[in-house]
Amino acid sequence: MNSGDVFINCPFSDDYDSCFKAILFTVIRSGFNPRCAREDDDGGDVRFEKICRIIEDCRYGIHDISKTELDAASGLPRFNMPLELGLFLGAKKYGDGDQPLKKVIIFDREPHRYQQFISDIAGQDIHAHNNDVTQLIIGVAAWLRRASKRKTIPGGTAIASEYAVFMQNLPLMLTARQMQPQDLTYDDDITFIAEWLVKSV
Amino acid sequence: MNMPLVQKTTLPKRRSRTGTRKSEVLGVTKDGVKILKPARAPTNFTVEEVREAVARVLGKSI
Repeated sequence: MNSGDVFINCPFSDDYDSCFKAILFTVIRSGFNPRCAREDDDGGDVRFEKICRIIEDCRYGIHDISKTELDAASGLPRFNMPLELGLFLGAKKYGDGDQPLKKVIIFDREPHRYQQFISDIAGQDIHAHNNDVTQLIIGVAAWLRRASKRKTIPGGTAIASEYAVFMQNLPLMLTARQMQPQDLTYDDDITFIAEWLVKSV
Repeated sequence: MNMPLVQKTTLPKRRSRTGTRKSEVLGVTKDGVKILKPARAPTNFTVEEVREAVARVLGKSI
């Protein structure tokens, strides 16, 4: 397990993209290495095995279950996030070696909403972000600082300001290639964030 | 005959498959945070192209 790896379990939908990028930005800005199921691989990976391998690697887990809701087309709930949360908690509970040292934070969009669909997680570290990017960044930064005991992690409000500048810069950085931020892959996002932070902060 | 649902095993616990990996540092911010080098290359760009794009927007040299 790597003490710098942070597993991100969240929706990968367009309407969550600004929150996803905000989590990536905060994790990298705090000196950690984000990991998630969107990592590029050799293409032959079974998704479940890949997720298990990444979870095993990660000391920290950020889980956002705010999009656990009925799909408009199928009328069925989207349950990948609770599944990955359960895997992470299971690894912490039953894993050998240093796996019990894993630390978890769970976000939902409203306080106590989780009690209506996954009440067994009561007692975990659960926070509401109210679909607000700044609140999410502040929550992630404060938790990483607390969980890792790294005093160098800056305040969430400062990181949110930097993130706003980055998001203003990002379309300009892509103009030469005539691309939009939504055209970037996960590995593109990571590289742009890391390179931008090193040059500007 | 009642069989136990979970049978105890004498096999050793499984060793972690992943081990620990040392991350490289890409750079350090003014407030002392070490920004880690991404483990994988970008998909649609080279790292040099990303650096050029960042430098161009920030008005800094590469």
